[in-house]
Amino acid sequence: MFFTAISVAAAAFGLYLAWLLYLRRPELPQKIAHALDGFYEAVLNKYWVDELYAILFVKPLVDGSRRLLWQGIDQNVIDATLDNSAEGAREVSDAMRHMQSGNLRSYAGWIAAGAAVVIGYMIWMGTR
Amino acid sequence: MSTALDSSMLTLVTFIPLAGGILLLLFPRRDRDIRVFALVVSLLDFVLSVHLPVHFQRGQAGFQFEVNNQWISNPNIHYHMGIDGISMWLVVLTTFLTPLCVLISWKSIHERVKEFFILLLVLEAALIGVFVSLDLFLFYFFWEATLIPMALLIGIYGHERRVYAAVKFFLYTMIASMFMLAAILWLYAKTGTFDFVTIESAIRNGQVGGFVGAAPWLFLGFFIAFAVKVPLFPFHTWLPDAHVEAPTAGSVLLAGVLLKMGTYGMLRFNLGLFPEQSRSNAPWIMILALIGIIYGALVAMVQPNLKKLIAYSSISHLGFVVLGIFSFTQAGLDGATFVMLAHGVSTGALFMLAGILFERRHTYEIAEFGGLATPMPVYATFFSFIVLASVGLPLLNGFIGEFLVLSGAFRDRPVYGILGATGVIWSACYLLWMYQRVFFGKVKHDVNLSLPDLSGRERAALWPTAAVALVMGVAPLVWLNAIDPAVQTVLSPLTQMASKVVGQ
Repeated sequence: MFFTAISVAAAAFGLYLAWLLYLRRPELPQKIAHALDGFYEAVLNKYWVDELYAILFVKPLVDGSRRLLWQGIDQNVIDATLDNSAEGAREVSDAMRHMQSGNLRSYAGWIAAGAAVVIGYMIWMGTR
Repeated sequence: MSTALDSSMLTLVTFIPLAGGILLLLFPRRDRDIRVFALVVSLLDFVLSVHLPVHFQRGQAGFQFEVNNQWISNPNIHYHMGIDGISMWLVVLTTFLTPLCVLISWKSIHERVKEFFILLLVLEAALIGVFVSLDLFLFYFFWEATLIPMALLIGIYGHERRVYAAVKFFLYTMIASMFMLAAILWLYAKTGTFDFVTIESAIRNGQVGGFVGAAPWLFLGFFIAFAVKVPLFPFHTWLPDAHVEAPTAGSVLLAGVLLKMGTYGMLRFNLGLFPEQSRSNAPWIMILALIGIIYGALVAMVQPNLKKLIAYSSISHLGFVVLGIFSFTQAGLDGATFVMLAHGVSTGALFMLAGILFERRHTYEIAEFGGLATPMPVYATFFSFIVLASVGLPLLNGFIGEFLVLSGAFRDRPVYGILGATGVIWSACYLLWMYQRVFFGKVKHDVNLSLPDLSGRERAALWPTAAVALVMGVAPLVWLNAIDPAVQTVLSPLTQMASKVVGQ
């Protein structure tokens, strides 16, 4: 019974406040806002909880994911390693293909050079 | 059970798409006829594949619908096919997605139409072959056979950097597969057979000479091939490129089925042939899976490109599958298998939705959209439904699998479960944020105001995925009561081993 009375009174007070602020003296809310100044701003912006949350959690997470994880690790480490190894294989092959010039005299030269390396290796192994 | 139809069923389901592809070769270049024929063939294959779950003996362990014939006598290669509860659903997933791929490619492919649908059907045959093969040679044959049509689909029908993506995809997965081939050949040299069941029992009975020393390397040989396919961090960078460049149908089959070849391989071969090595290697594999879940989700969150976002989300979701598999719990493996199927349906649908948008605007950049719910309400509704399924909303398909995986991971080690569970939150972050940026707010670009909503053909492609996503979420037991006995069979050597360790 007691609680019912309180809640009815609260509802009635709310009705009264609405009547007062919107109908009777519509200039009053503006004055109250002025009087409370900073506090009014804080309440209006929900105590800046959203902004604080964005600065503390959302922005670091999004920026970190973008710069460090995606552009950093994914693109510049993992993918770069792959692309560079592919590029390396291509460059080595590109350098090697000059041996295959179609010029018989150069082939003879390569054979002689290769034989020299093998002989050198065998001598070196023999003297050890 | 062993009627003539049952034993030839797997052969039919596998080779009907291939036969359809060969018949298409003879077709005149009338695009409409070609499309209709491809649709009919893929639908026929789906209807036939439904025979499998309908006549599957649930609650019975071991392989069913088996067919085993000598193919080549020397080397000893058999045409040995069979399915259990795990591979059966993957076959049905493949046949389910292919007709939808045909529908979604109806208008977006207008050059070399014939070749496109031939490649699509050949790809379907190879994918099914991977799941039904019980001979390691046959398995490897189909495994590599999927590469060719997929690489051609990306390389011919893709977007700007298609050749780069196709070559990267091909080389990356091919090089990794070589290690598996070496491991398969070692097993053949020691056992004289490629037959999975024979090799499995030979290993279990200790009849393979030198196995103890070689097993860690054999395990890794198989594992590296599967890890690249899944893909597991840090072997994943081929995936975003392949997805972004691939045509829609290619992406649907790539994410929907091809990635599951990797997780299926881990389940069947790593756990089946090398239970001890699976256990000893599990800690670092679990950590890679967790990195994949969280890293994939965070990178997905910051992608400016819609298709890349979905691609990275696949890395995150497949991390769940690996986490479940290597938890060695009933719930974890059940969940892993269920996530494979659920991800196939919902991510397949997401790629179809992205493709529908691309057909209208020729871009995947999220910044190019915004406020699309106004001009395309039906599209927006489908998209939100599939996004919620992918996030793992209860009553939709994503929830069941992730829940089971996480409960399995918790049982294995609580910290795995806790870290894995954050993945659910991350997936809500990147998918809902993307949804907000694409569909809500004011229409920022005037071209978007006049975008047409879904056509009847597009709805026909999307309705089945939405319906299945719901049914899988409401009645998961239809799937799980076939998966469960198969998982028990896979787990039995592992639990025996654990009890041996405890008993000492």
